[in-house]
Amino acid sequence: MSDPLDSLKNKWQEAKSSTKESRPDTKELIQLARNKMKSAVNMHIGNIAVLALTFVGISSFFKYVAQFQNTLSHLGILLMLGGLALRIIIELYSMNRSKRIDFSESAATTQEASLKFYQYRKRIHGPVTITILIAYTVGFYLLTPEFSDYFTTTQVILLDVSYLLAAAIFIYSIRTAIKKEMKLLDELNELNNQFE
Amino acid sequence: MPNNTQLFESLHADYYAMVHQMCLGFMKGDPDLANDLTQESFINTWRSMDKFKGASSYKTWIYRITVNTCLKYIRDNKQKKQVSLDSQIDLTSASNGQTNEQPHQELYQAIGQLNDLDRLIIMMVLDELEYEEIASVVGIKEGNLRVKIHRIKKNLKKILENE
Repeated sequence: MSDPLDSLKNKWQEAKSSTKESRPDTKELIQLARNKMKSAVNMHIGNIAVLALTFVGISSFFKYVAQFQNTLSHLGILLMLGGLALRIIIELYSMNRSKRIDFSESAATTQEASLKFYQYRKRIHGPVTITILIAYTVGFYLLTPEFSDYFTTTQVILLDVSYLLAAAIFIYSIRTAIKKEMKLLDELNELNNQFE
Repeated sequence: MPNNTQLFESLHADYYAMVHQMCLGFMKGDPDLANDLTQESFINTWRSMDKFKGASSYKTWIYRITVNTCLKYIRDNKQKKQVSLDSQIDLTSASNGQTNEQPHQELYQAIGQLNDLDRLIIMMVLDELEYEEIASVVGIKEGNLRVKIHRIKKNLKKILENE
């Protein structure tokens, strides 16, 4: 009895030999690869630059524009800048860690590395991001008493409410990112089962 | 000794057909998706050029990159592509009245009914890669691979009998 795979093998080889004609230009491909690598690096640098600029902007604001005097305010500044600094460190670490996923390793090894990366992201997105957001929020509201020394009550209320709006937008975007990454994690878990 | 560009040019020339065929099988015969995935596989090959240490042949190494690229593609695009891919295959046969159907579609349809990893494994078997090499590409023990291949063959036989 003939192996059904033999007929498939023949068809496979036949199909493969008809592919050779359409090979794209290698030099264009190399250029495309270079461009993609460059844009990936630029995107990461862009993300970190935005966070770093925010950090510098807020620091400069506190140093040169609004020099807070109260201990409570100093604690608030510390919480806000500390949260941002922690976020920058995490982004840098994530960037470095994602680079370590090696596509030339075996599928099981790469799968495992990707799974660990997204499990790490899950931990970051969960407790760590929430803690940073809480620290930042608490920090901001600790500035409110001293704000009221310089601004009218209406201005302080406006400031507090606008912070809430900004925080709501931030939470929404984080939630979307978390959902996307958690779907990826589910897919990875599902794929992982296929290796068993 | 050739530099990275020369080496890549020669790898692209030597293994393009192999990678494209695998991507075509993985994408259930869809030529556009297969072209994209082939391109992505070679981009990942270019990115990994400095990581080749000579522990395996270039063929096995490129197979690893292709398999990883296919698996990444499927997990990144599963939600949106599953529907479009399935409907695209139905549309090809329905709207074109069978006359313009991609060649070897029957082969891809049969393989396409297997799960992602099984599909990749059987394509390497069809390409007559040694079991030892397939095990090194997938990253499982050879004994485990043999069990898997036996099971995949049984599934394929059932699929072919039902067609």
